[in-house]
Amino acid sequence: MPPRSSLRRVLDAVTDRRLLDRTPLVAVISLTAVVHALSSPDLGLAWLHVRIPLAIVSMAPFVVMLAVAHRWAVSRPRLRPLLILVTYVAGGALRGYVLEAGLETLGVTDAATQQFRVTSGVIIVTVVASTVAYGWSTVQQARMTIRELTSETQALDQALTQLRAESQSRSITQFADMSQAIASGLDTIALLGTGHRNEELRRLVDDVVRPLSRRFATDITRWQPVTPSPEPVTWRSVWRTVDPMRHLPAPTVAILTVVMSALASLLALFTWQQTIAMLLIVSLGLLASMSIMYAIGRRVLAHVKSPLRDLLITAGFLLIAIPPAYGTTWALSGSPYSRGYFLPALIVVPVFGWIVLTGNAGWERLTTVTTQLQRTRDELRWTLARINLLAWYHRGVVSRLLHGPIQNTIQVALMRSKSADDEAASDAEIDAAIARITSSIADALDPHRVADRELGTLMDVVTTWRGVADITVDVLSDAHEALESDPAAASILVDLVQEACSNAIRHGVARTLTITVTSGDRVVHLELADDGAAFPDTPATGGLGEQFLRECAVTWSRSREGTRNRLTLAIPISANYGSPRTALPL
Amino acid sequence: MVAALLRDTLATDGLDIRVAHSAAEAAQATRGFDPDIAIVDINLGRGTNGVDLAFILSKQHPGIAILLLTQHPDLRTAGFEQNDLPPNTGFLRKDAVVSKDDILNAIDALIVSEEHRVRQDTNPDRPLGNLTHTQVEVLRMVAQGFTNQEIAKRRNTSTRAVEQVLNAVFLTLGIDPAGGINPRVEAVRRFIQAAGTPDRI
Repeated sequence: MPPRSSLRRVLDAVTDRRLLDRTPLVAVISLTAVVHALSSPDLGLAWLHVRIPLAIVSMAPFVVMLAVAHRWAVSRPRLRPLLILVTYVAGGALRGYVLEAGLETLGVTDAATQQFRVTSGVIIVTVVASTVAYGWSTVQQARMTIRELTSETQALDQALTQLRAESQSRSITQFADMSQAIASGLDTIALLGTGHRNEELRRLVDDVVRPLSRRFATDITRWQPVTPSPEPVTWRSVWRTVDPMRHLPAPTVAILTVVMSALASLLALFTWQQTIAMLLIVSLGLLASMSIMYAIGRRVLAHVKSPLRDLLITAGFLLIAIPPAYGTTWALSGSPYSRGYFLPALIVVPVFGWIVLTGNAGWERLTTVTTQLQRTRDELRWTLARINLLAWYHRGVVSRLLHGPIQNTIQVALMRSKSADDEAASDAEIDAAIARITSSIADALDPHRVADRELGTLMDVVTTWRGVADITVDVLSDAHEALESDPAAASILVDLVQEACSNAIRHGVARTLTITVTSGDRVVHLELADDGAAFPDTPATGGLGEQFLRECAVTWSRSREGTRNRLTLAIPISANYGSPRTALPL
Repeated sequence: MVAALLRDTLATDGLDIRVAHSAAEAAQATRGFDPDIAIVDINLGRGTNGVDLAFILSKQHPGIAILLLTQHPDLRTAGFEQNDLPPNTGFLRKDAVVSKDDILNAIDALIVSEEHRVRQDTNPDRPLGNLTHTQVEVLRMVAQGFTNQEIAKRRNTSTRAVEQVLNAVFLTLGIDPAGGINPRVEAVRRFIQAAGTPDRI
């Protein structure tokens, strides 16, 4: 998913569908009722037993409108933010109308204030819904991402644990065990008298080489890590993760809090000129106060433990609320309701401050967690590809060793020994065979020698196919250097190039083929381009098909560009290959 | 060793012989030389395989005859199809060669483009010869070490379908699942006996 702009992310959070969840909905309804109760200067704190239930009930049309709007917006994702914001405004107006109508019906107010109630409804509902949606959705998003991260991190841990177990019991150790068993058998035979050598050699083949060969052939299973079920995430753990004090908000949050709290405290009771004047004065004062608060918070409060810290933050918000509270009195001086906003400001500013603070902390945490998650995914993908590559490589080495140098050499030595003229000649054949097998095993265990030979084979493959097509090879020096110490990667490269030549030239009738190898961060990038027929739609079942690329490449893609096929892949590579006998080659 | 034996055997008949130990050496050896026939194994070790080499040689030398001399009973056990071979290609199994005349007769037939006389891969009595194409493909994947689930994924089919194919393999090969041996291991053993251990790619 492409990264979204900051404005779009704010809009998405503010208009999030999860506002219809039970908790945020209860919060919105409660907050709008509290704001109404505290900040209606025409009524003060009178008639609360009637006004609060009425304020709650009057939110019903807004909730219905919001549900319908979200349902309608499902098929119109681009219009969603605008549609929902319009719903907040329209729903707020309707709420104000219903509330005023209710108050009139019950004899609390008269018809003269109806217009004021509608305007204040628009402001209260829009501000409260936006603020709660922002806070709730960012926290929820962070919660989901944290759960995903936890699951993937566990998968990675599990993968690494299994890899260690694998290295103890499977191909790598099997490789070392096999060579040691055969080498020690050969050492014993070398010390025997002439009469017993043939017999012992045959026994070695029957008792060690063949059983190993059979076990190897029948006991191969492709290794995949177990994906663990995600651990339940509790609210306490979420709160710990989005703890605001760990991510004190940026100045933008201060502005948001100031504007929203000031707007809510005004309630559109006065003329627009009065409102704008008050907003400007109060906002500037508030912004300065909150900036000072954050600066203090970053340096001092970070060292204080919760819940004392939370108490101090609330106290800070209360302090911040005092200037706008007095500001409203000053801005509205001369009005009969000039002191009506002092108390509401002291309550509303800290509440909104906390919501925005928590939401913002959630958002910042989300960004951090998303980055971590991506890094973990990349690491997991690399590790899996590397494990599969090594498993493939080691089994290939074992297979070739068992069926080539070991079995064949022993069989030939036995044949020649049998037809030798005398015992000395027979002994010489056996000695030569033992030396050849020991040398083959040592050779297969030397990563640098194998890698060097594979790179030679790579050029042989290219030379062979150059007889029928124009092939350009470009292996950059740093990539060549990396491959020289990693036989597994060098080996897969040979097979990939051979398969690509075969597919493109033999099946695709390509005339030109370009092979480029470059190095990257713990990978070698291979790019193959040819002018043959287009790749088949269905993945190949033979050769190096899609399945193989999916298992052993960190990333891969293939495409048709004009008249050329292009296959790119990243092969996991490690500078620390070591020896299969002693080291875990990751 | 086989190459050296062949050279020694055929040199006595006055043929001009070049020996190569890999596909790259073969491609090199045929430059500036116009061979009538190439005797090639399917498995040439690391790098280019015998089927690809046959294709390259037939492109470089149109009209060349190719004799595949291999341990495989047919192309399927090596993971290839019949149409992977260029024209005028014969197929001779190593274990069916008992004298040098077998080789010379095959060469004679191919030189006069009578490759149908040298197609032991179509002999119904060859090992695993009574298995269908699908059965050989699945058995080869089992011998490569894949699980039934993995085989199903690679063949784009269901695990149940793979099990059915394998049961048919056991039946065709005369392996009794209740006979005290593991039928899967026994089938793999027979595959390896006939065609060697397949690579895992």
